[in-house]
Amino acid sequence: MTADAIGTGAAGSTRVGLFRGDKPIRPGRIVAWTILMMGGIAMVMPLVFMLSTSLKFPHEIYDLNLIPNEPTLENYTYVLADGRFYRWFINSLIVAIATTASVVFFDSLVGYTLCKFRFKGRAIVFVAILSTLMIPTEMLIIPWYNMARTFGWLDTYWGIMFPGMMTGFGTFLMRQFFESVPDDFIHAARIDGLNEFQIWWQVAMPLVTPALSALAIFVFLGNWTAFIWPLIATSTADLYTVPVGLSSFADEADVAWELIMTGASLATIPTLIVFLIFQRYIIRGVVLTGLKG
Amino acid sequence: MAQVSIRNVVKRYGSVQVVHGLDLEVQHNEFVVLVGPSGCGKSTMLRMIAGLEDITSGEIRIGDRVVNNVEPKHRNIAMVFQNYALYPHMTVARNIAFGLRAAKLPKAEQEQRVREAARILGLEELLERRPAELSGGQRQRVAMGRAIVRDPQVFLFDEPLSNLDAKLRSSMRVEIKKLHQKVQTTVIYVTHDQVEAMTLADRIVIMRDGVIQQIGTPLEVFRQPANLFVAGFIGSPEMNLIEATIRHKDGQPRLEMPGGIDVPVPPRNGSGALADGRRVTAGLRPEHVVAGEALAALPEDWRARATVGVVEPLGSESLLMLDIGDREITGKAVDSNLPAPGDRAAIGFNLAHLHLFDPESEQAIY
Ligand SMILES: Nc1ncnc2c1ncn2[C@@H]1O[C@H](COP(=O)(O)OP(=O)(O)OP(=O)(O)O)[C@@H](O)[C@H]1O
Ligand SMILES: [Mg+2]
Repeated sequence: MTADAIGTGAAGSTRVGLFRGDKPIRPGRIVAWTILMMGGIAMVMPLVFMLSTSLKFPHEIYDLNLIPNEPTLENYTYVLADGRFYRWFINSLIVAIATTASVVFFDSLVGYTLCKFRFKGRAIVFVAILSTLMIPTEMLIIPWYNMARTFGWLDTYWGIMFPGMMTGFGTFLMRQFFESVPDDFIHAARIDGLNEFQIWWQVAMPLVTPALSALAIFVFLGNWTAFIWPLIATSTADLYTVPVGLSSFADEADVAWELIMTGASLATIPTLIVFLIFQRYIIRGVVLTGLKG
Repeated sequence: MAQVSIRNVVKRYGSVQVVHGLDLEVQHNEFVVLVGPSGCGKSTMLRMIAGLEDITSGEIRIGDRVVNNVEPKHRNIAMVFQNYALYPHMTVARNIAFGLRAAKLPKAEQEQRVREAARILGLEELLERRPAELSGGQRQRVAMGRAIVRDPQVFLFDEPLSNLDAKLRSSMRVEIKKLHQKVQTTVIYVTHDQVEAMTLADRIVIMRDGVIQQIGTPLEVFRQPANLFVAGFIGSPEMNLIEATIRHKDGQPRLEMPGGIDVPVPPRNGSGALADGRRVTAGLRPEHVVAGEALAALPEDWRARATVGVVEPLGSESLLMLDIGDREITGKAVDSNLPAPGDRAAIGFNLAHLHLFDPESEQAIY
């Protein structure tokens, strides 16, 4: 009797174990995986081609093979030996870092103010900022150009950067994130004697690092890869950013794809670094905000 | 010396008035508890005392100084918040020292004060941890540490224990009480928990919809509730409130309650004004509705019969749900041979503790 019971019990548990091991792969899953895989390949392929082209000799670039027959670093030596690329790289860094710092600072300052202070016209200001999100960049280029020309900003760093020094999107994003900072933190800091600016900087900002990191990544990438406005705002090669400079490798007679791809490969390095740095903060930040009483 | 005077303070948010002309005098070293249901304006009042919220009209004094236009940091107060408001990116020590750093106190003094606060609160071992690595009770203590290092004249607490479980809450209650005895400051403490209010307070202020209902010591508000609201709010289980009618018999007022219950109103201040036929609300706490052996102590005509609904044993005593007419009231019995559910049992009303309220004005009339 007892032995019997144990026996069935054991059999029962094996069966459970079997079921667990043999989770049937549902057809839906296969479809999903296939789609994801195709999407992944579609996204990675251009990058792989970029890298592989940068390792090819000019005569080979139209053979669409992924692995170059005679891999070479010649293109890299050429691009790096050419002083112009450094110049563009530095220009891009200046523009991207300055705009990122500015956006992170001002967008979060404005977002915080809109979120945590009550004042007349607050809603109107917020809606006005939101409505700028609905205007496509293409429509703004002409007014920007007129403005830059009037103030003599063309062909200056400021001319490249000014349209992006603050963004409606970032302001909106930060405002939403500051909602998650409990007012009590601000009250406590106020009683502790901090002024409003210190409260924002020392108390509120550390609590929204995930949002700040995400914003910094977006803005840096956006400015690093920006093409149309830097192209329009600059006319001397000394002020080109990397994307504009690379496009100048394509002159009327001949498109030097291998050089463009080499420059583009080099240009991905800062974006990778930025991503690696800030992504850590995104993860750590989530841990912080997950803290509740 | 830090007495707090609140004079005719009004708070309006836009067109909505949430505090209606509040008056309160808090003595030096007094522990005053503001208690009331959610949304009655307790936190608003506390924030106005702290200076975190402007007052619409009226006057607040701390010590001898009108502080209406004084910034929070200059009011010499410290506040402990419901969710502790500990900065997650700083260690416990940094959290406690935060206000001192902001005030640019010398490093050595900061350290000495933090150590002292940590000693008082038993936080020495935890100083290098971050808030995420603390239990709820420890966080609560850190929040108090942050308040006491500032050596304030007035402590303000806004529901500091409401995030803790019942057991921890009662032990932290004791700690807060001890802390008050140690640091000897004026405390204004907000809670919606009447048990917390009763156990901690020198005086309780009961609020409702931005109006003070009664101010008194815990025993005063328990024994002489000024109105129906206070009667129902203070005490657990709640006071039985029963619609009744005054009937005169042989010149003496009697109370006619549902279920054919008819008991005398013992002569006392106020009993003379009870006109024949007047509708009243009678209030009797469960401990004054008795059954079993306790009956013997009551006069013959303070008794009645009721059907026992549910019996809830609490250990040393039991709660009895009793049906009278279509009303259910709560009684208490201490002995072991209790009436069983469904019994038609003899019960007694300890009318020495009877309260009568006017149903319209809700004020105590007897
Ligand atoms: N910023 C505000 N704007 C408008 N109304 C407010 C604001 N803050 C509070 N109120 C209102 O004021 C009233 C009192 O709020 P308060 O926070 O003081 O209540 P409370 O007694 O502390 O309640 P609880 O026990 O829930 O904390 C509520 O009706 C609330 O809706
Ligand atoms: Mg509150």
